[in-house]
Amino acid sequence: MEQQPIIQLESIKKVFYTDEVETHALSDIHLEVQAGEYLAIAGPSGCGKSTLLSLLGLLDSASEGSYNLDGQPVVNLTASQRAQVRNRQIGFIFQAFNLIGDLTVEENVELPLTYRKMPSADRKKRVQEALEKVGMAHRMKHYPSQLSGGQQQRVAVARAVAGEPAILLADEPTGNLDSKNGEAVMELLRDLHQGGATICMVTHDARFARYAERSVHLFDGRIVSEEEAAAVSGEYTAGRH
Amino acid sequence: MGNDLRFALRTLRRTPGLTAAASVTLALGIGGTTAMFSVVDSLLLGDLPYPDSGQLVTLWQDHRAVTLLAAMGFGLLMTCVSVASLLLARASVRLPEMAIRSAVGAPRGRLVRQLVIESVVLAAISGVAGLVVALWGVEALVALFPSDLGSLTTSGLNVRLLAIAAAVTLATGVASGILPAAFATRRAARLQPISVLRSD
Repeated sequence: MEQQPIIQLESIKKVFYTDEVETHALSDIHLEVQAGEYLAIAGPSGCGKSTLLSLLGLLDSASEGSYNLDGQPVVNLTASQRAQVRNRQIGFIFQAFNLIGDLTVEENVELPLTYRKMPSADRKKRVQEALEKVGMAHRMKHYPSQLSGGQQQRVAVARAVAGEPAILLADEPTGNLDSKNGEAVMELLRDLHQGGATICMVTHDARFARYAERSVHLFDGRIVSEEEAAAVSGEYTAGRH
Repeated sequence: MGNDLRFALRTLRRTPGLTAAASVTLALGIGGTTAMFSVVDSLLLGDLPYPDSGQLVTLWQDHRAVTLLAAMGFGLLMTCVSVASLLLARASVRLPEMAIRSAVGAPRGRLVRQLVIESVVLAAISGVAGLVVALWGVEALVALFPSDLGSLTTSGLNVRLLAIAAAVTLATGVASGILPAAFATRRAARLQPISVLRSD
């Protein structure tokens, strides 16, 4: 029996309206991601890849089309239901880390778990495990401002995996890091994938897209090509680094 | 709830200027209102402050008590508006934090709860200072009246005054916190978390 995709997008369209201007950020997107897959979404700046990731993460809603997450339609959920789905099924890793400065490392990682009805002892155990996974358990009581960029991104990865989500969504996770720390974070994501995690990563950098099993390329809001591992060209490497 | 409380105290500690400004405003508002209410309570709502007040009869009734209470309520409302505007300014600065919390799964109700807890904690701290202001205020007001007004001159720190101060403090905390919280979380939701979280 064929396995049901964990992510299934059909005819997705996203239009932004500003004053009298319509901007078509995404058009006719069809995409399926299987459980345990590592997908890179690549393309030049402004091609719509981050918009696509925010739709996948229920941080934004599509103008048209259908989206099934783990077999369940999610396009018509209320804000509160979307928050619950994000909390249970999605882990985010952002380019700018997006840790809360007034929370310690431990509290930042615990944050998604505090929005579940989970006993404190279980939360602490999950936080400890997640931080050990990313090699940051010794920095639990520190604040983000006391950490380097690479360390902050590790903590953000721990926060994303602490809730044991169905998918991890990474938006340019190496964008604010030097190449050494960028490689380290990519190695960490690869380890998580090898441990069974489903990952969708947005990147404009072909070096990092090669870590994924499959890449889809966006251009002007459309998927223009799809490639298997280690076949990504270097055409998008010009830009931020 | 424990996490929200701990975070509220930490946030207030880390923004000393705003915390001080809001606390002084709240302390004066809570203290002034409590002092005025205590005196009005003794003079107009309880037994009249004259010897053998039970012998007195009412020949006519006016609405001075209601007017006074309304004036006090309006004064307290002004305090709430001042503090709410300070909290609103702070809430706007904290949109990224709201967006992060929302992204990791905080429902809007939890965000509102967190911000209201912060304003209630702020009001509680201010309430203690307000109680001192209230005691001074009652003494100052009592000094304006003749010394033979029995029940009025026994005003001061009593259970009734404490209960009034606590009620005024809680009402002020919730009232000054709920509107900025609702506004900020609505704005965060409308902006869509991703637009706040993207750095480029």
